[in-house]
Amino acid sequence: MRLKIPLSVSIVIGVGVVVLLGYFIEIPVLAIVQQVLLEWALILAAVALLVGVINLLSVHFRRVSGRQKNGAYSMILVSSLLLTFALGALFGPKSDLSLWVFNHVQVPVESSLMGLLAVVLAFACVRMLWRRLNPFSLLFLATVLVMLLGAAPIMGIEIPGLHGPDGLRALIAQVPAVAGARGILIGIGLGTIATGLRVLMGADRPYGG
Amino acid sequence: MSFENLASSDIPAILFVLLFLGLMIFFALSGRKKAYQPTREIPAFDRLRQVIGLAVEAGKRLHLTLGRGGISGVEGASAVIGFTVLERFARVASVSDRPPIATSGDGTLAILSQDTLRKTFKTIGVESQYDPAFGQLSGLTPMGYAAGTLPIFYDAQLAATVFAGHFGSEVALLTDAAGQNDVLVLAGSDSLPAQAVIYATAEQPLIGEELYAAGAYLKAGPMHLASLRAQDILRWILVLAIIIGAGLKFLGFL
Amino acid sequence: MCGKPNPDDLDVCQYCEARLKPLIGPFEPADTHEPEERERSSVTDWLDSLREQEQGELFDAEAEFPEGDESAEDVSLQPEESYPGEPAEGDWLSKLLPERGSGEEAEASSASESPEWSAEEASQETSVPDWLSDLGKSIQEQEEEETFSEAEIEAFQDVDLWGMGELGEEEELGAEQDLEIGITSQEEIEPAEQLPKSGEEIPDWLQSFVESEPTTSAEPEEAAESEPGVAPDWLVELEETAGIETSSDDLEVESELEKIDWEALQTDQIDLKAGQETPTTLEDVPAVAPFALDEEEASLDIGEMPEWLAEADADDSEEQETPLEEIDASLTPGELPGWLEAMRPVEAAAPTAPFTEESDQEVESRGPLAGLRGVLPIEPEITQIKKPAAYAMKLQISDSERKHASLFEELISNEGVSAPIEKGFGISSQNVLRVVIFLLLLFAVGWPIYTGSQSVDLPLPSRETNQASRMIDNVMVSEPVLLAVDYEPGFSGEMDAASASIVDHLMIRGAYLAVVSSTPTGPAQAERLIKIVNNTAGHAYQYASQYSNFGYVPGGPAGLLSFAQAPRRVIRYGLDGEQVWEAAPLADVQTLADFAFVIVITDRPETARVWIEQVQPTLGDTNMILVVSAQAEPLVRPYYEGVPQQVNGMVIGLAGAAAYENGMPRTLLARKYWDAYSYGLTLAALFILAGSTFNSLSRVFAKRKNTFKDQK
Repeated sequence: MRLKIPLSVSIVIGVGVVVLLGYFIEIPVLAIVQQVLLEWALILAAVALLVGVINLLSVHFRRVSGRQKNGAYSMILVSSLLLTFALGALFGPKSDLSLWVFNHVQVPVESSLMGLLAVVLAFACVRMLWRRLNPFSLLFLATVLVMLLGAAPIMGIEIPGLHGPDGLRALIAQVPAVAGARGILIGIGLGTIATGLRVLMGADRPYGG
Repeated sequence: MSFENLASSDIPAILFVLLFLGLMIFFALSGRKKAYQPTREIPAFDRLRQVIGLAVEAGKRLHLTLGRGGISGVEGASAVIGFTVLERFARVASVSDRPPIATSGDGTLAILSQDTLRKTFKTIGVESQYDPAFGQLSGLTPMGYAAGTLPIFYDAQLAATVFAGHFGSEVALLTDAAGQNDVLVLAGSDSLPAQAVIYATAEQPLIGEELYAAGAYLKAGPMHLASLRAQDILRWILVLAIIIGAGLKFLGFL
Repeated sequence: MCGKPNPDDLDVCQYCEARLKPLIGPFEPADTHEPEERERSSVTDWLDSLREQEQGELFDAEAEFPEGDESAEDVSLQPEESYPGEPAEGDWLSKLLPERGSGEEAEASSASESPEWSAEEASQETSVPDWLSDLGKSIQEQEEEETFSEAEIEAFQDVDLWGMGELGEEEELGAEQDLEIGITSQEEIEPAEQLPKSGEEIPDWLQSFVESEPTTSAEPEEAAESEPGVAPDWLVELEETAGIETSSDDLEVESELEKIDWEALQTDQIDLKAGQETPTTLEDVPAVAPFALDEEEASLDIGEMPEWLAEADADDSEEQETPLEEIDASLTPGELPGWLEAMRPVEAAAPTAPFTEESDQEVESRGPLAGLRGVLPIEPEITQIKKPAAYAMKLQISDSERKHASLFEELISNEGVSAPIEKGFGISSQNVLRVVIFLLLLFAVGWPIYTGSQSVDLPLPSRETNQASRMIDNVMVSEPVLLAVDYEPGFSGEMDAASASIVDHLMIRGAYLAVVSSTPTGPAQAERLIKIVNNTAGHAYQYASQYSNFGYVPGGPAGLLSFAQAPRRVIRYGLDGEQVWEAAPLADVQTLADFAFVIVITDRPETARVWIEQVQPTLGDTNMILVVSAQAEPLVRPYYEGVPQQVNGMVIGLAGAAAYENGMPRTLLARKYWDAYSYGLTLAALFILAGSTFNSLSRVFAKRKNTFKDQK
């Protein structure tokens, strides 16, 4: 991050080209270099995770110390983070205490948010036709209903043609949905290649160069 | 070499990448002589441009969230697009009363978002106004990230929020919260479940690979336009290849 | 005073004893009075000519610009537009010009020497008597000058605005085009001297100014050529101008047009105003009265105002002070038309000028001044000394101007105040709806779980589920199986149930589980999963002896690729800090291909793709099984359906797990949740169907209602 522009850009381009060539061309030396670079990336990712946690801590610590709005929530976050970190550091990540925190705090909180997501999505589907009443929205809604009703028997009753491996639900999931997903993924793949090439060419510099 | 051997080798992939590279360079060079404008209208970007201007004028804040995909995977491309949008945000709104802020669900993205903002602030000569808190890590799990980002939408001075990166279905919680608070939501992702959810919940959804056109539509540079043109051409090549391949397979030649 | 004839030698009227000769010497009109005289005569002519025409039309802004904005703007921006067939207005000016030429002097000579527009300014002074009363100055000349200078500024503003855009273009286009424009505009301006149709609306001096400034006038000229009602917009004007002048390269012009934005134009405008040739006339002007608009200008300005301001202006339009004091005495109040009478100032805000009443003044009956009233004072001026009028120190503005100023002040003060957050009702209808959805789903899902209902039949195993089951059936005791637990805590509800059956099957077979994860919470999730299966299915799998936890592999795809290429280098220690590869079942494992097979449990299709694309190619003949969330099915199915198969078996969501348990047969989490799942989905689907139908119908009816209203 502190490197001068030409050097940082050249490092990015060089590393990218080596990894790319190592993927396509089987040269032993290139494979070794690629492996080393991947391990560095792995270490950097782990360090970045730690730096991210420190950033999270600093942001909320500042809110607490600055007595900003909703500082109490930040206080809870900071204290929870420190407590969990202390438990993991003292007793190990596989200890009963650490797993207790995970099973009795993190999983319920996140699962309840997931449950909330179900409510939000149902509500969004209801509102969607108010916001965008067009054939595509109608098609979207019809597909949602087929997938929901076909996923499990309706009040315990299986409807022939809807449920089962040859039912409408399976047909939609396995043909149009897959085809559409493939099409979108090809487009996303093209975009990904374009973005990657721009980074390799130094046209996109998300690394502060 | 038989067709099957050729297809299973890496040669087509190398050729494809080289072709892509060549087209990008060609269009970048030719674009200097004659400006190319993307012909397809994407309403979300028009709306975004309007809102950016209005937000800066009204002294309101812009928010961008980069998702939780990281930078090293295939999701990294969408995050890079997010950085491009963030850079455009920062250029326009850095001198306003409320500079833009970026949130993310990955440590790497948080660091890079700070770096992008710092770089942009420095470029336009307002580095002293830069604050590392402008680039925040909201949470490390999907729901943690969603929960950490939610309070931003309850800021009355938030004008618009852009989702550009990799998300899961948890993005519905965020788009819904933003919508409830009358914040313009422009959302795009490389994740299909997220796209499905975004279509139902966001005011301005970006479907498919529209997110990758953000740089071109926000005038981030000639290479963005060049790569967009290259994508358009290669898409047609792929479409033809798929149709021809399916036809040959159907006829028993493959 | 009596008007009867007297002998020339008498000093005092023989009938009424009024003084006929001044006390202090014979009266000789001073030079300074000359313009005043001229002005009065010209005003007379002007008003006479006005009366000859349709009375009031020329003054009536509403009649001239019925709807206002655009037409007004058009007129103001088309000074060169000439109407040769209208001689009436030319009369008073044509009378003025020779008179000026024959008159004395300083002004006339300067008029002939200075640019033509400055000469026209003088005539404009006389032609705009309305402004005088607005200003309310006591000294008439000064008042005229001030009024004139203000008019000049207004005109400069108009011309500068458009001329600047032109200049901005021309700077880009080069000197040759400049010359062309100058010639063209000169030629086209020639007939403008014949005076426009509505001379009062388009001051002559403005046309003269345009003449003397060919570059600035070019654009309005072209604007005049365009349809006035169609293209009032500044951008359209600019584009048209650029299009005419740069037909050789449209692209460049377009790019130049893009560079021109409103702010830049405004800035340029200001620069031009500050630095242009205006000082030559402004130098002579001592002061400019703020907010002094004549009636016409006010009406024109409405076109450029925002609506709210225009409305405020319209409210006060009737209160506009109409200056009648300077109108010729022949136009007595009784002869005033009604509309003009209505425009008389009710109560002048400005201090009254110390004029003597003209009706008290003598009408000259002989000599060159015969017929004129009050040119010779009856008494020496020294005897008419009055106490000077008290001038207020505060700004002299009308009510409408005050209103505008207060509105402007309000706007500015509001800028710094943040808008209050609207406090909605405690519970909105949307929130009620959300709560209703929540309660319905909670009941539909909670009740079957609470009662332990198992009334809904489990689905039959699908092909991919059967394949997965058959592969696990072939695992031998203590054979190492790589189990990737890559789902987030939020998805535990679905993924715990989806994977419990397959983990249970592995435990039944006695496989050695090597657990790894590419998400930070994965290791803890894996511990939780094994604990759940132990508890639910009655197993007692022990760490290290029957399974080990490799922990978290950071780096996403790069990390997984590295792990796939060299697992022993990337992972060395287990979650408890032990040497994982020293465990007996793993001692022979050098690569991932040495595992019996790899099972990936994930909620995210992207994670599944990474495992398939980065790891599967390194597996060789080792099979891969996916346990994925239902949301990932469309993305991972092609890997299963494709040839060659990259995924050899799948369990998809709770339905897949239920089928797996049905095939085993076992009673685990999927069986436990199946009834709740069935009822919950059905209720959610019905609710969405009902709500969407209601919303779409409401939308349609609302639209029709609006259409009906519009038609009405």
